[in-house]
Formats: sequence, structure tokens, C-alpha cells
Amino acid sequence: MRISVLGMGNVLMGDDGAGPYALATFAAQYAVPKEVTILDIGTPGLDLVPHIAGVDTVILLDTVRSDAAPGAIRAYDKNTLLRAKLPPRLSPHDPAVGQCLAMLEIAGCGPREVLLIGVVPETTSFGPGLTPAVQGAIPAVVGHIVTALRARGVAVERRPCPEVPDLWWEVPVAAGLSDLGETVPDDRLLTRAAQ
Amino acid sequence: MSKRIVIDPVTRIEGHLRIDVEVDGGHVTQAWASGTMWRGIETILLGRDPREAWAFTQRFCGVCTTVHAIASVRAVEDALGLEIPLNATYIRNLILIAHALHDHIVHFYHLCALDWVDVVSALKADPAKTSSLAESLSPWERNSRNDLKAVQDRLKGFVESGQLGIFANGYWGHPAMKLPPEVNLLAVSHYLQALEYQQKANQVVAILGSKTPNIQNLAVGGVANAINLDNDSTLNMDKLYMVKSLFDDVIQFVQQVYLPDTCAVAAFYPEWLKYGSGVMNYLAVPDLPIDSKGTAFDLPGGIIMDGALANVRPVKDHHDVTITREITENVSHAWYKGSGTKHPWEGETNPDFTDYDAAGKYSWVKAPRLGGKPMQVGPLAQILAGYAQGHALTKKWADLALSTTSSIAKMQITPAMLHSTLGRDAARAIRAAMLSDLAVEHWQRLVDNIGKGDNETFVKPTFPKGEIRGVGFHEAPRGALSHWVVIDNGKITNYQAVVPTTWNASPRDEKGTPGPYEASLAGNPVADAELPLEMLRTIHSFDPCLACAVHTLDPEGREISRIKVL
Repeated sequence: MRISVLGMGNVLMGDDGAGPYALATFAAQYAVPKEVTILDIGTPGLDLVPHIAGVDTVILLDTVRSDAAPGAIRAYDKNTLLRAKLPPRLSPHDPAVGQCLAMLEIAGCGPREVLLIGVVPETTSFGPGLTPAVQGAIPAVVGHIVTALRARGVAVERRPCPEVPDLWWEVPVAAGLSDLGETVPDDRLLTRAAQ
Repeated sequence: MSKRIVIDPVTRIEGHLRIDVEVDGGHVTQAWASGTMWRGIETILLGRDPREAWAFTQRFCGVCTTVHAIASVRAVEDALGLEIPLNATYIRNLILIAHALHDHIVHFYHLCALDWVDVVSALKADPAKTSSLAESLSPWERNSRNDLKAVQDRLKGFVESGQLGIFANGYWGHPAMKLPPEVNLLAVSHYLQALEYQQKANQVVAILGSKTPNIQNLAVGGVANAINLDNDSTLNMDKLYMVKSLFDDVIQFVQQVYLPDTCAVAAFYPEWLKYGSGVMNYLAVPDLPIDSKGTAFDLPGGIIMDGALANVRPVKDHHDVTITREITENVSHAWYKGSGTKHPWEGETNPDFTDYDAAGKYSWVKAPRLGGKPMQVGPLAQILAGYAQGHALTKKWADLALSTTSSIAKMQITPAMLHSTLGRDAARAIRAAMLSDLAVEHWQRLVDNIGKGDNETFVKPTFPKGEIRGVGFHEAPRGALSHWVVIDNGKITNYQAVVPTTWNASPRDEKGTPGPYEASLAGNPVADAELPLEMLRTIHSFDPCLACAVHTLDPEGREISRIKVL
């Protein structure tokens, strides 16, 4: 059984980063078997296709437009996403989740099940960081991920010592390089690539 | 009596691209292109460590991640005068080739094909006739009568159950749709197959880039891939052969399916080789370096003014003074303070939103110019620049595409007809075919170089005191991209990205000269103002990507777009 948990959204655009934020928080607090894919997927447009094709269960974390208050959490299933009205195709971002799903359905290799856990944003204007309303919803989103995975028979283990979530985009501007004029090993980037 | 049509998707909270046109007598007379979201992402980089800029710039856009990463590391390396190891050059090239192949396939089949292909008409096709037509076009093995019949049956099921959601914005039955049912069926079949092959191209990026989207293996100074042929956790022979085998499948699809399909569409719509030329100044930068000094490249660069191929000016490398000195951006019609023209190193990003005013400021996109002139960028610019210089690989595939199209259309298709809407789509397929040859070549270069015992992939950068400046050019799938960085005492003090869609979706400049989208729409026919399919054909031919990027789903299905006729 293939299960993927995908965080969607742009981490540089305020509450639009709620998906990746919730994903990083979940990954820091819980361990899952290696069959479960945990991936921050950004704003992929049609590039979502390879990440959901042939997967049994896709859990998508994203922001959603809704009349509900900022920070509210809404869940949607595959049929709802397939029924949603599709935008005209102007740029490669417009074919979003709905179109990727529909295309894979026709091709006969769509995911069996989709669960979209959506957070209603307050602002998605430029700059990293979540508003308090959306930040406050993150623990509940993490709880929903855990519940959804366990309901599908996945052994989700709470880490005895939670890690610090990898929210690299929130790292404040550094004071600059302290070692000017000397060779600077790029250890952080090398370490990340090796993971 | 002239009418005004507005296409304004409000799919994302901040919006993307808005097109306004004036139509008179069934043709577009004037057009305005507007980017409706502020891209201030550059300001986030101020004060940061230049070595980590690429991790942020690849989040500019979820579709063009890799290209912004590469342009960023190249900019910082240029500022430092840093040469990177040969292995790093080839690994980066393979990633760029795979990304571009993926991107071009997705563009043609999943974004643009539905402008030309009438999906519902495919139900009327005879699968046996379709199969013999396909055989006359290509040796592709998956065009059998049974394959095509299976696609038709599946499609029929979808149409009957009313689940045509995927094609809901297709304009079937539109008077501008002209393909015979058999060609439509063939195209729908390849549309579905393309899903598999774009994934294979994407897997190459994932293997070499450690992850996709948002690759993890770049570093200022090279790549973070360790090479050790005997180690499972590094880049080894197994992984290299996996890359080769994925490339082989994609190459076959590009050469036997994508290119012939593009030729067939062009042959059935020859009138679209007349519309949509617009700005006939072209800029392409050379790419896929084959040495570590960046003096020789496998993809040609060049500048063509006013469509005069005979006067093409080669751009030999990324230090050519025309591209390093003569690129400017003007904000007369863009929502930034003032109306000035600045070189990107001096560029400012001070937003100043006023209402949409077609006569005044009407876009968040700045107006880039080369020597004061608007330029069209993208695969067409590169193909024309290469063709005009007699570049062998360009000529090989461009001549094949022109002769194939001529024989299907039973008329002479000339290189001059490429200045057009379908010319841009054809050029993209020609470029994909060139890249498919280069994939093999650069894979071999990497393997040969490792075979010599060279395992180097990274040199450590050293930052001097004081101010340095650099520019990173990349000929991305959508055209010439440049990142401009100013670094002072090891910190970023200015960062500007002049992206391909900024060139093409440029608003008017201080002289009132329209940008490429705007100019290319003038003269386009519009049969039905409520269903402006013809406008979408021309805009899609540029492969617009303006997102840079907010992504918020709207599963509750409220108004998400509008086409307004005023």
C-alpha cells in the first residue's frame, strides 16, 4: 500500500505556506514507516502528476478558499475535488489538483483515495510566516494527519524527543559571513542533499 | 463597433495574468497584458548569505524551480569568478535537459493541445484508419488499432458519464477547430501517454537532484552529488544507467510522437503560421556549457532584430557585453514608484499600486528591454538564432520539422513562417528534439569524465571584502532568464530576476511600445467573443508562467475565472 502525505503551497507567501508548515511540524513530531512518502511539494501545477499517480492514498495539505474564518480546517475527498470547477488554462499553474486528478482518472492510474486537509488562510501576501490564526490551526492539522494515517493502518509513532521542524524559510537573515576571505565550507547544504 | 474582451483568471487569491483586447470586425486591434500579482520575492534575499539564495529563488515558482536555482548559483559564481568542476557542469546540464524535456512535453500536451484538438470529435474516429494514418507519420509502437480503440472506449465512458471535467475548458465544436476525427483521436491517445513520459523525465531530475520538485543538490561552487562508482549512497554506475534508460524512453517519445504531432497540428492549421508574430526581435542566450570556463556551449545564443535572420548577432557566452550591459527594465506602465529605466544591478522593487489604467500603469510586470527594444524570448528565439547561424543540430531538427509539415500540408512551409503562433509551438518541439540528442551526448561526457578518474564535483567559494556583482544567465524552457546579484562583504545587497515571462508579458514601455504578448495578439481573428479560443492559442504559444506563486485551492467551486465581454 502506497501512501503519500504532500504539503502544498508557497512558503514565501504568508499563510499559503500552511501545507509545508504543517508537514514539517508533523515530520518533526512523528515517525512513519518508510513506505509512507512525506514531501513538501511547493506549488507544482501539473508537476503534481508524478507524485500522485498510482498511489493508494494521497493526503494533501493545502490552503483552501472558503467562507469560513481564517484558521478553520476543511476536509475534501477525491470526488469533491473532481467536481470542482476548473479554471481556464492560462499558465502551467492553472491545471491544479482537480485537473491532475481528472487526467489520471482518464488515463486509468489515478490515486485510489484522496484526502485534502485544507486550512483557510487569512493573508497570502508576500513574505514568509503564518498569521496567528493559521499558526493556531497547525496542531489540529497535525492531529488530523495522525488520525487519517492510523485509520488506514499506518503505524505512526510519536517521537520520544520531538525534533525541531525544518522551517528553513523562516530562518532570519543572518548577520553575514563571519569568515570573509577564507574558504567557506557549505556544510549545511551538503548535509541536506545527503539526506 | 469595437468590443473589449477581458480574460482575467482569479483562480488564485492574488491572480496571475490578465489579458485585455479590443476587437473590431472579428480581429484584435489592440491588446494589454497584465501580471496581477506583485512579485517582491527578491526583497526577501536582501541581507542574506549568497550561498543560500538559490534555495529561496527556486521557490519563486513551483513549475520553474530548477531554472531559478541554476540561475542563482551561476550569478553568485559569476560574481566570485568561480570555475566549477567539469562533473558539476555535466550533472547540472543533465538536470536542465531533463527538466526542459519534461516542461516542453507538458506544455504541448497538457496546456496547449486542447486549443487545437477537439476531444469529443475523437469519438467519431475510425481506430483502424487512425492507426494507418499514425504509421505514415511515425514508427511509434503504441499507435496500434487496439491501443487507439482502448483510448476511444475509455473516452466514450467519460463522455457518457458526464465526467469530462478535465476537458471542461476545451472548446469542442468551436468553429476554429479543424482537425479530422482521426487526428483528434491520435492526439488524445498521445495526451494520455505523455503523462508517462513527462514522469520519466521528472525521475531523472529526482535521481540527480536528490529530490523533485525543488532539487537539493546544488551549491555555489558545483553540486553536492558525491561520485563513487562503488558506493550505493552516491552517484554510481547503477544510478547513471537508470538515468540513461529513462532518457532513452523520453527521447523516443519526443522524436517519434511529440515532434510529428506538432508537425501534424501545424499542417492542419496553416493559417496559424501567419498570425501571432508580434515582436520580431529575438534574444537567446547560449546554454549547456561543455567546459568549466563557460566558453563553449551546445545550445546557441543570438540576437535577431526585426526578423532579419541574415543579420543575426551571435551571443557567444555569458560575458557578452550586449547582454551584461544593455538589459534594462522600465516601470512607466508598471505599479512601481516612478517611471524610470534601470539596469538590473541598479534595479529597485518599490511597489506602488494604483488602479488598472490601460493608458497609465496596468501591470506588476516591469518592461525589460535590450538596447531599448522589446525582445521575444523562448524556444523560437533560440531556434531562429541557431538556424540563422547555421548551427548544425538546430538545422537538423528544424529542417526535418519543416519538411514533415510541408509534406502533410502539401504546401511549402518556410523558416519565415516560424514567426507566428504555431511557429512558437513548433520551435518548442524542435528544441525538445535537439535536447533529446544532447541528453545522450552529455550523459556520455559525464561518464567519460568520471572514467578518467575525476570525481570532483565541488569547489569551496571564498567571499572577498567589499562589493562584487554577478549575473547568472540560463536559457530556460520559456527563454532567456537572468538573475542579477550585488554582494557586499558577503551579504546580498541587491537581487533582481529578469524572467522569460517578464520579457514576453512585458507591458508597454516609456515610448508606448507594446511587449511581445500585446503585439502578437494584434491581428488575431476572434470568431466568438464569448469563447476567445484564438486568443488563448496565441498566449499559450508563449508558454506563459507568471505565477511566482500563490497556490490556494478552491474546492467549493465559487467563481474562479471570468471571460468578460464589455
